[in-house]
Amino acid sequence: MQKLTLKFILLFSKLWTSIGIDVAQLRIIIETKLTIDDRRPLASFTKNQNKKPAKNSTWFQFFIFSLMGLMFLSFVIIIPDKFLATSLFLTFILSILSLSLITDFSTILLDNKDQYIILPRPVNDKTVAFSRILYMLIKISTQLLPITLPALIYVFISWNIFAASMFLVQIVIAALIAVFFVNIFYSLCLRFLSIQKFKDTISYIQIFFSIFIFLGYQIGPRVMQSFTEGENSIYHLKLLWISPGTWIASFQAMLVKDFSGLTLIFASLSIILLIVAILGSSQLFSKDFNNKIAQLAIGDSPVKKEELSQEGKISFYKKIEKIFTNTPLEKAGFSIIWLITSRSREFKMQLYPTMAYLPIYFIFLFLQGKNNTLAEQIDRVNTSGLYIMIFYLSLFTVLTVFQLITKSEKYKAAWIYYAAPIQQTGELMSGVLKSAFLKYFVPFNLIFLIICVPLFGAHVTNDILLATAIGGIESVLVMLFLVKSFPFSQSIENGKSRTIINLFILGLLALVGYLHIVIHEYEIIIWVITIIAWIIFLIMIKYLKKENWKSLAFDDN
Amino acid sequence: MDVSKPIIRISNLRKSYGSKEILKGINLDIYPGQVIGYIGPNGAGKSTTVKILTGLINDFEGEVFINDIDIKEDPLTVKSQIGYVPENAELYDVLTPMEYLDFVGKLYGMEDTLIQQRAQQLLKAFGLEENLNNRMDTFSKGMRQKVLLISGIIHNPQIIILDEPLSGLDANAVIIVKELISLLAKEGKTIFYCSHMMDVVEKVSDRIMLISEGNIIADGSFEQLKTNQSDTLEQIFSKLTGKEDGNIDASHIISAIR
Repeated sequence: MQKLTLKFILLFSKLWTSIGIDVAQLRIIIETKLTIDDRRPLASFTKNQNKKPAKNSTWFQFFIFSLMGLMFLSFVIIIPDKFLATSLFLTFILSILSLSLITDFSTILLDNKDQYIILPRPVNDKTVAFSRILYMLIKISTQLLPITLPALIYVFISWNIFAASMFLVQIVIAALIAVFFVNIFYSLCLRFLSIQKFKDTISYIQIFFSIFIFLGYQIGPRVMQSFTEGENSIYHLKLLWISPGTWIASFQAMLVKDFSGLTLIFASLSIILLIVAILGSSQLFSKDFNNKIAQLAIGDSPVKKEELSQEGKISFYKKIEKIFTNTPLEKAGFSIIWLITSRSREFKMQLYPTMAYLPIYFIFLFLQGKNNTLAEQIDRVNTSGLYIMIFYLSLFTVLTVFQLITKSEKYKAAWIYYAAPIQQTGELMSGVLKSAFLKYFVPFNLIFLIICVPLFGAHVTNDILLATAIGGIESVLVMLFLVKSFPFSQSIENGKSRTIINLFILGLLALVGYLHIVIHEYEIIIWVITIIAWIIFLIMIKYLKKENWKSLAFDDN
Repeated sequence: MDVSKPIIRISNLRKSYGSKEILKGINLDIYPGQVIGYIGPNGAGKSTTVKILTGLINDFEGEVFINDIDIKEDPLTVKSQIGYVPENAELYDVLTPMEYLDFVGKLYGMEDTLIQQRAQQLLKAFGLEENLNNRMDTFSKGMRQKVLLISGIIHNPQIIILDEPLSGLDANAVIIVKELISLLAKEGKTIFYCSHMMDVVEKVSDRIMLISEGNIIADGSFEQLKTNQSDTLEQIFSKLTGKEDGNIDASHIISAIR
């Protein structure tokens, strides 16, 4: 599939040569990158490798994207006006592709290995830039296919052959525009922003992306409803006029002999856009871009001469460490998690988006009923016990944190765990657990406490305490059964898909949350269960300490 | 410490990966205070020996005793007596040297105050006192290597195993490390020094062992290994190990690219 896409693109060799790209170099660069992808390195210290994780996760991804594709298919089925249907479809495809390109592909685009391997060779900048774009295009096609496949199948069956073929061409154009514009976006960012700002920007966009998807699920159905109820066309929906998706879609209108001024403007806009995209991205990539990427490799640079902890003054985490941990080994686990999670960009980038759901969900809690006053809303949420759900939602964060803390770009630094005389891995891991729990879970519950008690009354205290204990039990269980490596000891690329297990755990948590809501009016029962849950949690930590993971043994590869 | 009793005793050590035998029966006695230069061509079994000595590999044949402790029986006690700096070792560079050393020290079960005190003194001695609390991602390779070296000796180990410890260090630091090695040996520490830099090995070690194809093929002081007075260690090395690669000749390389 990927090789086919490459062959297709190389058909236009003449064109590429004419804009100054060395096609032979281009081909070998991309082929090599694809080969490297096929042979993702296994982390050097891991045992129990699932033999073919990549394959499964690819199929799972395919499945998820097809589901998304089915959702988009609904536009095409429900809306009779082909122009409007295509506009909406392409607008969504464009936004999904761009956002996914910006967030998931930042590692590819900013890969600084190119810096050492390709740049010292006589390869011109345009070829390097274009190879990057092309590589993204090939990679994105694995997402594009499942998303568009349902719609394509439907369209080829029910539309006439011209409209259907046009639809296919339009999808390709949309993909091209997305890829080129994301490249332009990157080079502009790199040109005008400092490296640090740029990294932050990417993180924010990623957070925005998750919120966008989340909002989509919430609002989507209502929007669909309004489309099917009223009679709509592009001419009424002025907001869609600014979407490049609409511009590209205008060719559908031309097929049904609609040559109105608006259609013609849209059509010319889309062609101009494509040209600007291609030219722009080959012009903008310059030596500058590569230099900046080289700087990215340096990592989060601290302020010069910044004293992170003054002598005599004990830092905050040390104080907490003193209270909650005993042995040196436990302290080691505690401090490594606390310090690295605060400073590692990769960790933050992956964690923060998952936290963004919480405030949004909180707001949605109050928006669900229709046309009520705020007081009524609060009362509704309070009596139904729906507020409890958000406590359990925050437990998802625990799951994410525990899976992220085993991974790091610096996973090779984990040799120290094997050279050091670690008697009880459980002791180290209990430090890890306490650190993650105190840093990423307890604060949420404190905030909930501060918000919910004035809002709903003091009776929420036991609910929060219970949810905290259940979060603790969850953490220990996740630690025991899912976290099978030392902190920051796994390659990031070694992505084993745990999606099924995660979904199972999420389901289980939802069930516990639901049961909690069912009994939330019986305060005494909640108090009793809370105490029991805390006792279980504390006993489990004791047990965890005594655990000695066999799976953490050194694997000589 | 009893200097007449070997601190490291290896007898008939064998290790295979699949059908490939890497170590073919190694016998060694190493005494306290010795500086061992462990040299050999690539793939000869150097790093496998080191991994066994540091307790990383446990499934080998033969016996390895360190301080009379069977490394198979009690690898943890052995690990606590060894300071190890791997070749091209990485560290968590978002931490500061103090934080990293604190972390490592605690993995060795040291107490807070002792770590603080030693780390500060050691960093100062290596000329890193200005950078105590700066993140190491801004450090040069040599500065990182210094931190790694410190992390290898902070728990005051009996045996120090160094794999290419000078890589990335500038000339001044090299002098310090060389001095450090001889001072440590005077303290009665045993140093196991792996390197390809023959001139350094020649100078720092009082006993040189040459491993080739899984066997120790030479063992003795530099003086003993010399067959004639003008030999350098490099020449000895090449004589003893170069014969299979006799067809490697720099002039062939030149003619290939001409």
